[in-house]
Amino acid sequence: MITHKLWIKVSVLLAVVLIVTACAPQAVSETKAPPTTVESTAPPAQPASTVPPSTEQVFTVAVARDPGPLNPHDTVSIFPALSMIYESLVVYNDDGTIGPGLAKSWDISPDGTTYTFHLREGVTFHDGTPFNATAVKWNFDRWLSDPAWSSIPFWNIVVKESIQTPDDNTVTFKLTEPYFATLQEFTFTRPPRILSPSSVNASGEFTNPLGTGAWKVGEYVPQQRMVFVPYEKYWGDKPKLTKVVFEVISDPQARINALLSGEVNLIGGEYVGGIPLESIPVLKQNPNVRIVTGEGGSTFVIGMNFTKPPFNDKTVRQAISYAIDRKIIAEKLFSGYATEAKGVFPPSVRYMSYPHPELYAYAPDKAKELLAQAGWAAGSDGILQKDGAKFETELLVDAEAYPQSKSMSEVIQAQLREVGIDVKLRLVDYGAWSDALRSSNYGMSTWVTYGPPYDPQTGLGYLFNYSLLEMSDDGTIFGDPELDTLREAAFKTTTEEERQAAFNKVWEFMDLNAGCVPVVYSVRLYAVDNTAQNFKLGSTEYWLDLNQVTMGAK
Amino acid sequence: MGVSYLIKDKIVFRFFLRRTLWSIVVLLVVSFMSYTLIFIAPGDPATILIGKQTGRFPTPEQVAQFRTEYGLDKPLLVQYYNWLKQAVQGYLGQSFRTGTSVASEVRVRFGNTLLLVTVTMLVAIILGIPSGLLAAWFKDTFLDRFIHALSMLAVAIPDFWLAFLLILLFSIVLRWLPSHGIGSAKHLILPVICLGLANIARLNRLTRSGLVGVEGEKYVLSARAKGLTRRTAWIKHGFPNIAVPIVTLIFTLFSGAIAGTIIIENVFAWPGIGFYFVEAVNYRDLPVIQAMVALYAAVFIAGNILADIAYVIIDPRIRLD
Repeated sequence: MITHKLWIKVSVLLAVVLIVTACAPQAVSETKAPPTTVESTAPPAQPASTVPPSTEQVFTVAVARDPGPLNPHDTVSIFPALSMIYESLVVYNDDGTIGPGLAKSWDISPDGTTYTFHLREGVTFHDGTPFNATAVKWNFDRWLSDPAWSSIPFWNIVVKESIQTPDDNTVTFKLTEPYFATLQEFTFTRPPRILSPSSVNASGEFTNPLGTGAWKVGEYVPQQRMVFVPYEKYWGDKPKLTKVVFEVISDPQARINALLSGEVNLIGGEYVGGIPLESIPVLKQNPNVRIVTGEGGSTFVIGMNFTKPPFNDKTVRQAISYAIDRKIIAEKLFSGYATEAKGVFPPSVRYMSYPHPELYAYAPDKAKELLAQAGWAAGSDGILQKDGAKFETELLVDAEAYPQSKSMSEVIQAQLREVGIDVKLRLVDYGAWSDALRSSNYGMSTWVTYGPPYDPQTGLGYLFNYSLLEMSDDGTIFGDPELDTLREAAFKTTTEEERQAAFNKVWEFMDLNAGCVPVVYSVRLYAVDNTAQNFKLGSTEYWLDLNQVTMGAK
Repeated sequence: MGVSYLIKDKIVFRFFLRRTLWSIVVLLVVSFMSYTLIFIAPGDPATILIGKQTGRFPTPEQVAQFRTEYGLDKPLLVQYYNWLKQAVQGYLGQSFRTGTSVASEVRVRFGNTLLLVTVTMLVAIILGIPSGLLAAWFKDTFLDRFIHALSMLAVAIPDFWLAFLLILLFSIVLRWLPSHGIGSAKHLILPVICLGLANIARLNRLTRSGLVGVEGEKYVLSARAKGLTRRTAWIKHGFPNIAVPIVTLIFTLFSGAIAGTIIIENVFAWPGIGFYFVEAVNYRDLPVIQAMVALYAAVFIAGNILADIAYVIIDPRIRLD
């Protein structure tokens, strides 16, 4: 009797447990929300290692984040996805020059304030809507009226009411002053790329990602994958692949695993899905993949709080530059995949020059000499002192943004200790970091510059802008009113020779004033499965160039 | 005692009423605490979001506009009250970061995590309890010691290390199983092994020690001396006595697993709530964080209530008060 009752109780309990657990997943799938739901029972993406039908050429890229809704006028979507489907009036070439895109040619008035674009004919958006001057104007009106984009210099300089469309294939813009980087800014992935006016609904809200690019959006499973297929009516060279899949894998190691197991064909790229440097040996050893690298576009720099002592003294800043051994950092921390910095931006940034490379040599004795000149003397513990105060400072490190920042900071801490500066490291997340900078509550911090096509103008105009400092004292690596003047002069030049000469003066000023301490230039790092041929890097890190990639048989 | 006891008894009804009220109080307290903590934490959502979006710090005007738009300029209590008012109606707001509906994102992702955790727990129960029974029945034999050693190993191995090892073997070298993602039974195998191994071991250990403990009780020893078979002793005394601790453990492990899958979800690119939550914290994405904290609290509370119901069914000595 007791046994019987016990069995009833146990079976009822088991039934309850099973019902609860069995019901839960089902209930969830029944209450799925419309379009953006994850199809958890959807078939998995075709792994590249299985043999596809002979006509299918599928190339899979591992991305670190969900590609997003692909609205080119907001900031949620990822760069490489936007650049697959949207194009701009001009393109950024490998050497940094500007080439024709949706505009086949353009004229700039002699005073540099009027730009006239002659648009390509016969171009259509992915839904067949024709591309023309009206569409271009509609696009610019759309984002120029949004103050969220005021950080783009073009936004501030263009006369918003001045956009004219004298005929279907011509668009003109007027600026309040000449700006050398206007065309460069047009190549940004967002916001200046061209969206179809039929992408919005009656209230003007973005609903459908329609561009003019070689690729259009196929299937999209949020948080898992986005599939791109070639646009049949593309005006340019059609891609050879039949499908490109962006697979969402947020963990860097998991991306590497997926490449090695043949499930994805490409990993890497700062804005696609970065590869940790420690994994390079593993990738090198594997015969199924190859590593593709390119000259980097951004710089790891150390910035200092130049508004306060001790860093308001330029001699001190120069001393710190001499105290850092960049060669060791490039060789050991980056496995030789970074180059020592000789100036604030790498050579791939346009108009860059290096008037004072000698200032970037490793010379700890010179550093000590300069510090002594600035009035610092070593105390008994080896730490420098002046007027009774020790040379102690804090270095802020946001290790999430750039994993190498942490090890680099540790090395720098040791190197600065050698010359008598006591540096404490403070690891922060982005939130705490931005707070500290806004309140000018830091001694030193790590930064990484943006790289082409944003540099040199965005770096100079935003990170090294003294006038911004007075408006809101945050996010400024270094500023000086004289640098502002030099920069503005360089920005307004209208001929190439003038321009290079003006920028030379800017770099000279930055070198001599040691505005920041550039450490190393980044490397562009990708790994490709050997079944894919003709993969080459895009002209900048902000987009991929997949149009000539083909998949061979394994 | 029968199951009808549950439905008809006034005591039971009062129990549920009390429990429900307490649950609501706990949820309110927890959600208020989390709102406050985010509020006072360094890092302003406006700065972070606009900063990360545009790639540079926002101007004061941009920050002010953002704060007004999202009601972040109001005092803490007002903000919390607004959130609460909408939340009870089922509207959890929109993510600051992506603008998508928090409720729909959480629903989908929670479903994925729930799937993973449920399968893991089922596997843990199916493998863990019988192996514990075996170990107890064959106490002190080679089998028992072998199971013991395996259990120690299973608990000691870190789940992410095991994950990489399994991926290396089954995805990269053998190419039998996918290394990441969701979508078929094959995708579940490796994550479930990683999450389940330690849980199998824990259930196994508890079952074995429970049964051995009961067998050692004086009343059982005297009953056995008088002729009770070992099998009957187990059924009459063993199972009833271990039922409650095992049920407790199962619910504890389940609730803990919901919160603890983040590393495995990350490694296997499993689109669940773990990673979503961490990203939200980094971005100070208030609506998402609030929803997630409330969800975790609700899961724990539900687990507790279900455990209590289970006790009543199993053990007639337990009264609900």
